[in-house]
Amino acid sequence: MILHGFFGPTLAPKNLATVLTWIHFRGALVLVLLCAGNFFCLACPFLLLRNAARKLFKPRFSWPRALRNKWISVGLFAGILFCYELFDLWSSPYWTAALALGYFAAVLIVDGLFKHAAFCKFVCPIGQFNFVASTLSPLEVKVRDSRVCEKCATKDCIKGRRAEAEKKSEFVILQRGCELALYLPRKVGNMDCTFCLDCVHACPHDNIGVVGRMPASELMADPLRSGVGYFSRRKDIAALVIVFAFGALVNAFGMVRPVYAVEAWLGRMISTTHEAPVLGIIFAAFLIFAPLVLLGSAARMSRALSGGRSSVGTVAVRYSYTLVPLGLGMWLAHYGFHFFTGILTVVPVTQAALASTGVPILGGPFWTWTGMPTRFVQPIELGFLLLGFMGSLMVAHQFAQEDCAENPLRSFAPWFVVCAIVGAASVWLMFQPMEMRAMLMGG
Amino acid sequence: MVSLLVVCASFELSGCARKSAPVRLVAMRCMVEGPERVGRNTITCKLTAEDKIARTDEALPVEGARVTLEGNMTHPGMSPAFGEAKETLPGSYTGTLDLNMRGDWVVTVHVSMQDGARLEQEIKVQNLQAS
Ligand code: SF4
Ligand code: SF4
Repeated sequence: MILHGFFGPTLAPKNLATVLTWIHFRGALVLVLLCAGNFFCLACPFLLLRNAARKLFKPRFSWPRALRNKWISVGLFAGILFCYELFDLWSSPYWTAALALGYFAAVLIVDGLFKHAAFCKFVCPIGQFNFVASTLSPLEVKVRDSRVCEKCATKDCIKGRRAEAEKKSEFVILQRGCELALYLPRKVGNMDCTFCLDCVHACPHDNIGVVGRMPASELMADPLRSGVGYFSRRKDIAALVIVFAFGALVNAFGMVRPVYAVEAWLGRMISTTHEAPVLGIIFAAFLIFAPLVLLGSAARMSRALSGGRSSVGTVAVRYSYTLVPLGLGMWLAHYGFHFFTGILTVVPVTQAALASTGVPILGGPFWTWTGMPTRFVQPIELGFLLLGFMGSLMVAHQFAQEDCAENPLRSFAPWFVVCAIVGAASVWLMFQPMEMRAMLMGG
Repeated sequence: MVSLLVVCASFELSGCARKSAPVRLVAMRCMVEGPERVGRNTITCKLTAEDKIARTDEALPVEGARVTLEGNMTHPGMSPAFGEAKETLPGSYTGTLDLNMRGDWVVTVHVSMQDGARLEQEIKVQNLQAS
């Protein structure tokens, strides 16, 4: 795929790098997260390379304490969304392949220097996307019987198993424990879990499995989570959720007609024909200004109405998690659209790629193979948005019940308004005429 | 309106030796007749050739070529459009292509000439809008 990106056709619809990355990978990722769990992290190609490299050299450092949070990955997540728009990554096989290559390099550098899964836990923006979305997944890696853990002496699920090496001071790792620092008996939900199943293999009592659960249940409670802490105290994870939810809106906004009018207007206002500052303003409006206003006002109001004593910031952080279902609904609607309408395009592109290497074993290429017609996909998109909206209302209502048991509607009402605004914005965006073009400043 | 000019040499190969005759410089000038709009667009293509052995500077029309048209959006995963251009005057080919969505398109004109030589040219159609 990377080779085709660099050396194949420059036209994005004919190149495996762009077709697989922007149509199939993204679409399948969100659908698998919705229907199963974080299986894309399990099958992550970047980790294959890292694991192979670790046979040759051992990382020496521990990830700096000050960086043991999500702030770097929040910045990278927003940065990738920004670059996607600025450089029209979807239309460039070369830059798509370069991005994938850059990712491999980043994994090798970070995990080559730092022990455990520092890249997955603290850096990888795709991983963070998966962690947030998988809070809604129906599967999780979990201890089967907590009584077995109480009697367990080895705790291999977190420590792993080692054997002494020839040099007495060193160890050989026989089986890794959880490199994401999730201690299974106290692990709650899917946050930070890459589904690597190291813990499953490590547990000597076969006491860990992939089990079913109610989607979003982990968002509705706020226990102490191993390796994560309390959601309600993690401003960095709340920021990640905000980028996840509002990023879904800005990512879709970049593909619909009104964005060009807004860009042209902003360009005139600040007298520039450069796209970067204009996009910067749009991103700041979506990822900083809108969340601050919406969540800030809702937190203030729900606090006043319910008579709660927590600070506005604390309320805002806690309730920010209600946006996860709405965010996933929007990502599903957007990526699902491209996935379903373009699902067959991989066939002719693969046929052509094979033919260009002199092995046309698949015949063709059948360029007319694309996917489902838009009119069939739109109801599915609407279904995803509705599902997200209902999920967010459920989470917000649960929080409101905990905050104000005698009259939960008082706490709930402002958050209902926030969900309704974000939900309405999503539906409006989905039904805007699409324009798949690069930004033309001044045009 | 977008127009492009491609000049290429067309050789004839025989056995393992390259014969020098005829060597032609083929010029290909294609355009989407403006104003481009969402829907059917007319694409014209003029093919002319100069015989460099005879050193005639006169450009002669390339007749009897097969000209096919293909439209792709710059975003992957979208439906492509296909069409064929017919020879309306000697060396002049015209066809239509249904560019059915707003946005950026790339129209590719594929030419197969009678001597087996092939040419291909891309025309960028940016910011296609509904009429
Ligand atoms: S999950 Fe397995 S290894 Fe971990 S504490 Fe429980 S029984 Fe022990
Ligand atoms: S070791 Fe277990 S808990 Fe830790 S990331 Fe892998 S699957 Fe999740």
